Amino acid sequence: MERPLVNSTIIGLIALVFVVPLAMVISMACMSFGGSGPNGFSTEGYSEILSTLRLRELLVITTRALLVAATATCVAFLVSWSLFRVGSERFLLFFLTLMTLPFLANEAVRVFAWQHVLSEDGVFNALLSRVAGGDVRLFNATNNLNVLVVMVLNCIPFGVFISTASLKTVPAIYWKVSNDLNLSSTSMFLKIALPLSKVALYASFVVTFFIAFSLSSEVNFLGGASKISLRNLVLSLMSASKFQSIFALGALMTLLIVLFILAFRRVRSSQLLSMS
Amino acid sequence: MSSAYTQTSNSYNSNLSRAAFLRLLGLSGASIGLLGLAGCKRDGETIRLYASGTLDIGDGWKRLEQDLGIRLLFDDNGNDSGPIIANMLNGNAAFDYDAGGIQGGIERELALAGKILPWDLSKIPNWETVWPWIKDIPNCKVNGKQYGLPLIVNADSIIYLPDKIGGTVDSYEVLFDPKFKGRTAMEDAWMNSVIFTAIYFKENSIAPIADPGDLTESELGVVMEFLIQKKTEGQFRTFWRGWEDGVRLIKTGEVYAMTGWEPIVYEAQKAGLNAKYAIPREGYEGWSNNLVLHVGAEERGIVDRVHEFANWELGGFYGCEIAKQRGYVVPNSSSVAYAKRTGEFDAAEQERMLEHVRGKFMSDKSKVYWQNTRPKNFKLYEEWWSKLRNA
Repeated sequence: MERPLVNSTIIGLIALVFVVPLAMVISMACMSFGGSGPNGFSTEGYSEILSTLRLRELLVITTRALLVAATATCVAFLVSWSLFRVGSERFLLFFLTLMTLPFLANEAVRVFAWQHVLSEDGVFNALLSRVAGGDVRLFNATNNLNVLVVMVLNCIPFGVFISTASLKTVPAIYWKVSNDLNLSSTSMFLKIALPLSKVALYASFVVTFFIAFSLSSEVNFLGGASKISLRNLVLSLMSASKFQSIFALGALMTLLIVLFILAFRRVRSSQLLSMS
Repeated sequence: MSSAYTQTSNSYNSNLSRAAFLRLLGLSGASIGLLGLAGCKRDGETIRLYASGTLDIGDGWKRLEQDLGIRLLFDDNGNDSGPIIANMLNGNAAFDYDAGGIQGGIERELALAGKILPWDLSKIPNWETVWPWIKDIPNCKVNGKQYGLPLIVNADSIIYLPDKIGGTVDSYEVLFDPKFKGRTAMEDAWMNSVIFTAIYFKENSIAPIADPGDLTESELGVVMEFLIQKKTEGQFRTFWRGWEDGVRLIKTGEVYAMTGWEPIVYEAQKAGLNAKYAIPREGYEGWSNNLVLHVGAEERGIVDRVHEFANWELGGFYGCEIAKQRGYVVPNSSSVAYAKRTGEFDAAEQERMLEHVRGKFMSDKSKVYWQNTRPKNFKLYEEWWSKLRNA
């Protein structure tokens, strides 16, 4: 009898690897630290994170990440669909390698590049000035819209990878049948691509959400006078020696990931149901 | 056959796959472990320094090896006080490294936690050559003992573009002047921005401030409410962060005046810009990057060697090298004497840089208020700064 690849021992090991750190981070969030190590138990870390000020920061970070993830997921799926429909295999490989891999390489480099493009004497204003004549100063590298735009651009490649991979795994019979039925491209998109990519869309959203949640270079270098990011929040807590709160934040984040995983199982089940 | 796919059956074998995977995992883990152990190997002639990147002189450390037979391993601590304190108090930095280079102010917290040791100044003869007022920097001492040795010092003020401002800047007022709304900036760090504003308040009698580097709760409230109001009015273009951001804002002309580091002015001037560093009538923000002795040195029995290293840093060569590489100065005259004696460095240039910094501290026109990265109310500072970010 063949043994399954994933058996209860492996599930147990995975649980150990993920549950133990979660338990540690939850308990560390309740320990107050002195000069020589843990020396007390309190819920101060959680109360600090749930204070009005910190909640407001988390709300800004979360809302921004949701907006970025939703936009990036939609755009990425449309890009993937277009590539899938019109691009040859070779073009698809070429596009994915040359156009998206550099995007995965280094966030700070991309942000600096955009800073150069968006700054007052940057590429955009220079082009506009040449076209319109005079000294056009429409763009500048320090405002919140820039943060959103560059975050979305930085997240799209991740979504493109996931969505393209998903579309490539749709059984060929679906496309063959839809061709035989003379379905329009829009119908194929709405009736086949979208329903069969539910899991991919969800995965793309979750991945880009967590990426956007933790991005900070955009905020630091393009964000004008508003500097709210997860990194700055953690540095602020570190600087105030509120280490418990950092662990509390870690615990909340990990619980959020667990919630996403549970939701993923539901989405996956519903997709399998619709396919059957 | 170790492949997950066997040629005979041409079918997938999960047991082989898992075995191969676990073997790979085991090998990787062992390799990583061995790499870590290799990093632990050390001898008494090696000193590990955990310091701000600005203190690094790269190949210049070879001279230390020639002079004292000490090999130096330098690790950048990132210069941000929060993570440094986290690594020192809750991490292993105090034990993994023999010495540290920090922005002045966090000595008290580290000393009281038993993570750093006081220097025995009798073992550092070159300490005698350090400028007297530098020896009196209050943040370097804890309970009367010298925990921080100022290695480099400078005094910061306002970077500005005279052509855009329309003249010479001699006051922090320019930062808050509505005429330059949206064209001024401050650093996204309370340890610099709060003290600049407090100096402005104190010296212009806008609010009673006792010590701009260590504000009381009420003083801090007044200063921060003012900054928040100015931010909401759109006075500040941004709160800049890091070298590249600071340089860009001035070089592109997006900001006409901002508080910041002097090397940014040099960088802008190198690019052909007419950028200046103000001599504010209210005074400068003085800062020092201090050498501290980690408890790890005591554990390894190399405290005396670290003292020798500290003495070497104040001996002349290091001062010349840091001035040449980074434009910062060691607060004594050893570097100029060394340059003149050996001819290895341009003595005139060394003297010019030294006099420039000393002039800022000694000029009748200017006062210096010392930066304090760990004021008594540092938690409140942090809270107010978060409020500013949220405003």
